[in-house]
Amino acid sequence: MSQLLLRSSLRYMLRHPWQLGLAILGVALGVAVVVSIDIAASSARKAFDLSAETLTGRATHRIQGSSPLFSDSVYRIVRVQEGISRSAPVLEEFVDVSRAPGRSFRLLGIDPFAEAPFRSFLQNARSTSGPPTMLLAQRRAAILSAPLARSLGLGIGDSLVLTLGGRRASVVIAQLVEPADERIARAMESLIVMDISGVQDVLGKPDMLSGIDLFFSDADTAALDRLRKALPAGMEIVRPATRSAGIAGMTSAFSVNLAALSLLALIVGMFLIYNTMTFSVVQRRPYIGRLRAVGVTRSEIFRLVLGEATAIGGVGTLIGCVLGVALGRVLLVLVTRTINDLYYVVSVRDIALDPLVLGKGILLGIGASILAALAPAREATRSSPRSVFSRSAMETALRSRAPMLAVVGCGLLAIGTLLLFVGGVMVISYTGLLFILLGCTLNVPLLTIWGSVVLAKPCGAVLGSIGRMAARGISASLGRTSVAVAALMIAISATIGIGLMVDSFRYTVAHWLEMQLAADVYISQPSLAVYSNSITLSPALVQRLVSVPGIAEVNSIKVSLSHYGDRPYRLVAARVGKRVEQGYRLKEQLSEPWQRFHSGQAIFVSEPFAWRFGIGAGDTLRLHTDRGNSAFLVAAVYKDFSTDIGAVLFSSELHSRYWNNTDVTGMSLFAESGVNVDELIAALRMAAGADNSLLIRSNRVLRETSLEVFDRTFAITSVLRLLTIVVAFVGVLSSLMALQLERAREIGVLRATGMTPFQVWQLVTTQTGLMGLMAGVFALPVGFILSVVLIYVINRRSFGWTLEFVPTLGIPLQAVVLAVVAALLAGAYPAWKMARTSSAIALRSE
Amino acid sequence: MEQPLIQLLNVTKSYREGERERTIMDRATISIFPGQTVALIGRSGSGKSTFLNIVGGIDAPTSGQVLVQSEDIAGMQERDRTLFRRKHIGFVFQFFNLIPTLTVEENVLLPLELNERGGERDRVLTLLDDIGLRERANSFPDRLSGGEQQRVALARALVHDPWLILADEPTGNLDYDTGRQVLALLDRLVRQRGRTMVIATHSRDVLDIADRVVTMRDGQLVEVRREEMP
Repeated sequence: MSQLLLRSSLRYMLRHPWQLGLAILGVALGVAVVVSIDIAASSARKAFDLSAETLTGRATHRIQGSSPLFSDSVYRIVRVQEGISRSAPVLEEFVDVSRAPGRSFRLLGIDPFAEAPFRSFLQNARSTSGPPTMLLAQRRAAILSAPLARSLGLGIGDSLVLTLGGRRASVVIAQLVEPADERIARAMESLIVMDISGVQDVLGKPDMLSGIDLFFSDADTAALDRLRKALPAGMEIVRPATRSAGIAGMTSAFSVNLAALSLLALIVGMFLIYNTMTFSVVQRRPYIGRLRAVGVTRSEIFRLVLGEATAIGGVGTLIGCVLGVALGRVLLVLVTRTINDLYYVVSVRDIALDPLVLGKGILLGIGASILAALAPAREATRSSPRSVFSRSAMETALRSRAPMLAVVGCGLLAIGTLLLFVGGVMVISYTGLLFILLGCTLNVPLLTIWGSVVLAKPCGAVLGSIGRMAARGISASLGRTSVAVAALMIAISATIGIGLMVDSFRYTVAHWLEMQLAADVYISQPSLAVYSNSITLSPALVQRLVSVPGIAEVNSIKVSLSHYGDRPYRLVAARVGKRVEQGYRLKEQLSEPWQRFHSGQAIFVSEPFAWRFGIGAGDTLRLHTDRGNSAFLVAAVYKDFSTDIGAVLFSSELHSRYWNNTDVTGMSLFAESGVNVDELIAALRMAAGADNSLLIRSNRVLRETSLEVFDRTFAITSVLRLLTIVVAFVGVLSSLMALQLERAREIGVLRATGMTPFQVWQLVTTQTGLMGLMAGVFALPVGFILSVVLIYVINRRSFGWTLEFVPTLGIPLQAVVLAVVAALLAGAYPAWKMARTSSAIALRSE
Repeated sequence: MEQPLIQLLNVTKSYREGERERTIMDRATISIFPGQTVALIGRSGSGKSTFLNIVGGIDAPTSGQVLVQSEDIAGMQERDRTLFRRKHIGFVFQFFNLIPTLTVEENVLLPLELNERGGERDRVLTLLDDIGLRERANSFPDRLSGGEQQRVALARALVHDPWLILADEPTGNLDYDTGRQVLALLDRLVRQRGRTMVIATHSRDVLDIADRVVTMRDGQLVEVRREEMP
């Protein structure tokens, strides 16, 4: 490539700083959104993996029960009966610390004398006061990392108040350890280590364990088999990595959806690059023609245009990566909150910068830029040197090609729809969605021609010849206007699609909550952890509560996390009364499902469980229980929006036959008729006792709380939606400014023939406003299609939920207004500039 | 007998205009010999620019042969025609067509660099001396007058020593005096180098420097004798 050509390119770009700056900004924003989402999701995942890895240490296997906790007699079997010395009991739970509200801490109970072969971080840590394990012999003595203690403002000898489901326990900081490296520092940033008996004491679970860590070499399969046989029914040996991967995998659908939405911003950014490069090619047609005339070949022109796009993409991507890291910090808070609300407890203090994530962002940014520039680059080379002198050549060609493009667009729409029906894999569904969006985009040139014809008449009626000129001008500069309209259409349709999806989702969940939460009062223990190993309502407390006068019906529930194969699911044991029964919406069922359920002949599974594991009514489900593997008949599939990991519903009676721990985790009560619910709640609080911080809520409060969680979950979606609009706005600003500024000469002629600055302003703003209106109107069907696909295909395939489509009018109307306002704002500067430009200057050629 | 530098044999060029086909050149035939300066005259739209575009390899004929130094450029692929043009042909346009993002010196250097002769900067400076614009070497085209821009365009067309210079109304955008000066300069530079030139023009002044005058009439190239000139 000639140095002079490169220099010339660079000077061209620098002579159009607005155009260049906006294109770079567009790519930067698109990349920033993708990178930030990736950073946020991968940081949360990394934090979880790191914490799991570090806490697991060198353990190769772990013994766990079918219930979260099991008796420590199992440890005696392992250690004494089987003589396995390299084994260590653990008891884990998530607790709240009064000094750090809203943050969960992992409380890890270990046996200091059995620990040595496992968690090296305690041995390797540079202790600030003697060997750590020795101090654990003190009851209620805790070890913290020194940075954590500093952040809590605590030191050795200070007390730390732990809260767990209403229980409060004070522990003493006996030891601080300085983490040996960054990895350990991160793993210990929310960790409190105690002697196992101390943790049993704090949790009120004497003689209970949550796991036994083992160290076996690969050759010890015989010993492992022997141990398996010796364990009581319901106990299993798993590999910690598999278990952690299963838990972390709970968020995979959530992460994929976020990534897909973030790509939408990049697609809009691609339109921006396409637009910039097309515009620069159109603007330089005479210049390209001159180059061709002096002997520059087509391939050299092609490489030149692609090189420019790569440079813009490169700079934009670099800025995008920096912006992405900053934005990632903000999004990490939202992602972590959602994961903690819905899936598992993870504590992430800061982002983890993964070179792979940045590499992916760089590849995507530059790749998207090159991809977007392919068409303009080809356009630049296709014309012969003779025709490149004609600026109208491309516009004429595009106008004549518009019907053909529309036909191709319809073809892509058909292929996209087909892929949505065919694809069982999410990637295929998203590819289908991409085809649909592309198909819609290719229809834009033809629709823009029609739109300008339709709008010319009313505009003429209102604004006279200026109105007609404004409308017709859109069709005359189709090459640029249609790209701007398409970019804005895609962005606006994304806001409509996502908005309608979230609204429909919210409506469905609100409706479901209304049906499901039929009882008057709900009681549970407070916890920041969505799944807890030990938070229950004790039988004595339950007894005190149900004896409060004014209660007509009592329903109870026990929720815990269990595993089906390697994948976690929510195990629910419920005492379902007649009135609660009516709140369940059964999607699939055998005859007399409730009778089968109550009589203990069958269980129900939730819709996401049925979807994930391919289980339906009438199927037999084999689950791991305290009695070993047991088979259950599935009598119905019920709608459940409380979790996407899937749930299995047992009657309390059936559950108690297969699991040892039957303590309930929540209760719902119906008040007798005539009993005031607020008074009943007050009476229940009295019965619970002054020290107990039980959550006793009316169904209205619980519904509101649940919807708050819902809104928190979708907060990140709203942020993405907003960012997509910003990218689109930059795109529209860039293309409209370029378009209008390019018309300076034409405007000069109009000014010379007597058009006033105000009329110029009117012409330009009318045109940009009309383009916004067209984009908004075209976006309506696309947005509806997008929302239908998101609701019926993407959500269903990601989470297994069937949502009700609620096409509200507010969101589409807002979107059209947004499109027009964005376009008007984008046209404001060119309108102002052109109205002020002297016609003599504008008319000067070269 | 001397071989012609350019030979057009039965060249036809037609364009489609909507449903109609319009023939600009109809089995046109001509031979131009090395060192000749040929003036091509004719009405607007008679096909003068088409002739130059075809000879220069910018456009391809519908049929016929275009031999330049015995090579049939009509039969070449587009890329080969471009490379041929890059090496052997220099263009001068009515509207100068300098590259606005390159300086005067860089504009003149461009054909050399495209021919991988970017090291021959001395040639550029000598030529700029010749056209009297050495001191404007670092200026961008928009800082020059029309006459100066056209002088730069002449230098750009000649710098790589092409066999053939094709000029399309080189004085059409200049005032009379400037036009005469540019024409005289063009004539001097071309003759100094012993090159061949075809100038499409409306200007009678061009006829003074031309060895031959040819006109496009009904798609044919017709030799005009001086006494027949209007």
